[in-house]
Amino acid sequence: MLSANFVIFIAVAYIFLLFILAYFSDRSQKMGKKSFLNSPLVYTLSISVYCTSWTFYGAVGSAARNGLEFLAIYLGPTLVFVGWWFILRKLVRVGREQRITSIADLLSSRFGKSNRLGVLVTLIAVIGTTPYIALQLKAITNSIQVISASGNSSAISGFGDGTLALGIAALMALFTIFFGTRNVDANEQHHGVVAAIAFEAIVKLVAFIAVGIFVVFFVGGGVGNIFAKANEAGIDIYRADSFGPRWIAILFLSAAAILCLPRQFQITVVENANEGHLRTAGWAFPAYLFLMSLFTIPIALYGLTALPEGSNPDMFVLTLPLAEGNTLLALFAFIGGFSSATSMIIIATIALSIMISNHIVMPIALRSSENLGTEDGRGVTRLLLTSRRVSIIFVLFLGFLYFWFSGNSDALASMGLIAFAGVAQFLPSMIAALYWREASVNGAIWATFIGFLVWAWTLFLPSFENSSQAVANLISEGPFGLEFLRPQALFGMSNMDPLVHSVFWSVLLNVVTLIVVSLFTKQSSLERIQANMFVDVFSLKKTGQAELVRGSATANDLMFVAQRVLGGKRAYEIFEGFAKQSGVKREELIVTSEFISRLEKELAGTIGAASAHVVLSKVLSGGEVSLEEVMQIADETQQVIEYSQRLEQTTKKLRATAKELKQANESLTQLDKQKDDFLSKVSHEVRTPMTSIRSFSEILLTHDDIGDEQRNKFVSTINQESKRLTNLLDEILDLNALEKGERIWVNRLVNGEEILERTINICSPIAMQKNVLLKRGAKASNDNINAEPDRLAQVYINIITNAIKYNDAKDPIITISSMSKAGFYIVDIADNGSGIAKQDAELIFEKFSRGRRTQGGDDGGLGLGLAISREIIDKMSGSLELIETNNSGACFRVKIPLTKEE
Amino acid sequence: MSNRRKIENGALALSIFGAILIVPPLLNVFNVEVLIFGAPLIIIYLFSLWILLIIATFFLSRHLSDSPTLEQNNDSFEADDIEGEN
Repeated sequence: MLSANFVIFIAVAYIFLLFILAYFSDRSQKMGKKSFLNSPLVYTLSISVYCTSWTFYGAVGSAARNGLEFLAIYLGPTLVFVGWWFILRKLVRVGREQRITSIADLLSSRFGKSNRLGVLVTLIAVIGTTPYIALQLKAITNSIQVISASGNSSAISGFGDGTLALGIAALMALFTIFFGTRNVDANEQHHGVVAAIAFEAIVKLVAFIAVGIFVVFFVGGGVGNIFAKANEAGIDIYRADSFGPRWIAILFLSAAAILCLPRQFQITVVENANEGHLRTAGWAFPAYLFLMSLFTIPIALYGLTALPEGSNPDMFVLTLPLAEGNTLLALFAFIGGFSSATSMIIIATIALSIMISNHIVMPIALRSSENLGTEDGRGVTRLLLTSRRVSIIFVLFLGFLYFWFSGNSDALASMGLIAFAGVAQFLPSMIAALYWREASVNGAIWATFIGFLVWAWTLFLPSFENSSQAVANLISEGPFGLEFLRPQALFGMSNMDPLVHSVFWSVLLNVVTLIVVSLFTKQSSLERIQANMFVDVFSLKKTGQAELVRGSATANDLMFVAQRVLGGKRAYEIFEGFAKQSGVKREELIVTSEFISRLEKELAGTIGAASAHVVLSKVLSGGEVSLEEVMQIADETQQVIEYSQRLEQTTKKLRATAKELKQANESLTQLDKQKDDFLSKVSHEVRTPMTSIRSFSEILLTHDDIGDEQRNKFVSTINQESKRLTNLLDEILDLNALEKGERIWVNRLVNGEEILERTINICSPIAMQKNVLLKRGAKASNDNINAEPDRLAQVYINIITNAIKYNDAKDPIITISSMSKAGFYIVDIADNGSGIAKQDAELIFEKFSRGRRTQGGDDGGLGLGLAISREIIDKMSGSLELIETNNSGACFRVKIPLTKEE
Repeated sequence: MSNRRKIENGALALSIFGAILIVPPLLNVFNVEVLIFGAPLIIIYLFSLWILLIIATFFLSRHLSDSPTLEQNNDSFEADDIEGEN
């Protein structure tokens, strides 16, 4: 067994270790080293400040009493982190852009830098957090009692419970003051503290898993064995009643808590050094929670079966190793529990102290002193540090008092979820702050206030039921005998779980108030500006506008204020930086609205948005322009920028339309040109025969002395030319009709091979005449096609006669082959001539174009043949093209889809 | 739809499905008296779902990025995704 003194010594030594760790982390950060302290891992570990002693010890107790309910407390935050891209990312971005210092500051800043809202949120946070701190103190004293086995709760080797708790609270205060308020940071980040918290996160995780492994694998004989034994002992291991409204309520509360608990906000948003860290935390924090809860059920079940009846399940983590005689492990578990308690106390206290000093102390100080401590240059800084230190002591002392007065009652045990429900009242306003532009300050104040009242009435007050007879009476009879106001059965809703009842009413009334009041109140210009800054945080471009503020304070006045609040060095840096950016010397700096809003943000990073606003208003009100007006100007600028962005978009659309019109115009011009070409070609083609007809007929008319032979020759020429003319006109009409689809066209089922053979027979005399060899190549196996046989033959004849006509080879050969392939009947007609130049491959299908090689020698071709052929094949759903082959000559391919035989 | 949008929508769907899968009535489907590896089915279900959510988030998070892609600029201007330049 361990002596109490030894355990206390270990605890103090552990805190001392934290001091050293925090000190060296702070120092390495100061020296500007890029250490692992800035890694996403440390960020993720520090978020696990969520796991307090309430979850370290209490989860096992909860699992023993309520089955799987404890899992909901981990699954809610898991969902929030799985969806980090949507809420957390925006929250962190807003937090960084607006230099948010706490959740009170977030809401106050968004809702027109309202200090009333800041005060309200701060008060609720203090009321909700103090009992939670008391719970940690209780967990620490309880665990010391258990592990030192004094058995007697009133005296541990000379210490009373209270003395012990007070001592621990004092040590925590010392640590927090030392590392939480060493200086007033530009952005409220405490690297030393975060490092210590990350270290504690590892300690508690390893301690819990160590106990888990010990219980499951060393004494319990495996997971299956533990469940089997528990089942034998009559414990309901299935807990079919676990999942009802209460499960959903706890999921909701824990999801809200991971966003709204002051300590979570501090760690997740304020201490965030890099938005990218969320990327890792998104999966790593749920993984941490997963590991943390993996062994909870086996420990609880084994504790219920192995330990004597009546043992406190909340202390199984300690009592199980002790019962097995493993004191070293028990001590380690104690340190794990101790670290989870201390980390919560440290961060919660820092967060609360910032809220108290920025939203309660500063506004009062600003109101009472007209000239910001002129007698001493560092007045505000000193005031801030002092008020924070006092706040820390105040908060911890409050926690201690709470612990002292409710010490032996069980009012503390349920405090975890009660605190969750309390801070959940911030959630509606917080979500509205990020996503609902119309939400107004009055809406937020009333919603939070009413939600808080309902919570206090239905959940917080009833937690004193066992320690106060008056409260017990109130619960059973209602105030002044008004039954419908009974805290746990508002309006007669009596058969609900008290937690579900409270969450339902408080959140419902909260949301309804927020919406209704926001819709019925008007936003001030400052609110509207802030609403845009928050809601559009991802889409707003930073304004590069340099608006001259007429008649307002000079740069010197502002410098004076900045020095008071930020300290001389930092103020100098800001002014210097801004001067450099606008390209002037610091002394010549001109006060622009941009500079004022930047300065206000810097000030807000130290004293909160509301106070910063008041401070600057004071300075600027001396001039002709008030800060409200400056903000108005900024807002108008913003609107102008938005307008010009929209204009730009419209212009872009117009440009696109213009481009389309231009393209349409181009293609029309092209068509017009084609028409002109066509007409001129037709005229040319018509003119040649007409000229010869005219001249021959003129000769016949004017010369009577022509011999019969001559006359016959002339007449036959006229006849020939007329025929040619008719042919030409026929073809033009034909083509025109084909293109316009005027001719009735009937495709029917025919044999492609038959038509091809017929064509070859027709062409062979012409070929023989010109000494061209017509060769028949491969034959298709399947030739059922839908076609107009005469028209198809016309196409074949056209191609073959062309091939005969233009073949300039020594031994001209034309190869005609056919095949059926991939659903097509294909006919290739190839010659061994000099082929067709590549650039002419498409041109030859145009009207009146002949291959280049024939230019000059007129041989009666009209140049319409291929155009008509292509048109015909199109009508048969096929294609006609010139394909490339290995041979020198041209090869035309006719491709017609095969039909399925019926 | 750009690839980035798809991943973003996937992340949203993951959170929504995750939420639906851990509340009744779906949850009660697994809340039956069946043992798997010696542990009740519901416990195995919740923990496996949990680990799947973690793995899915791990892979999605690697592809969720702030930098606007080229396709994205063609989107209509109502789209709320013109990111601030940092």
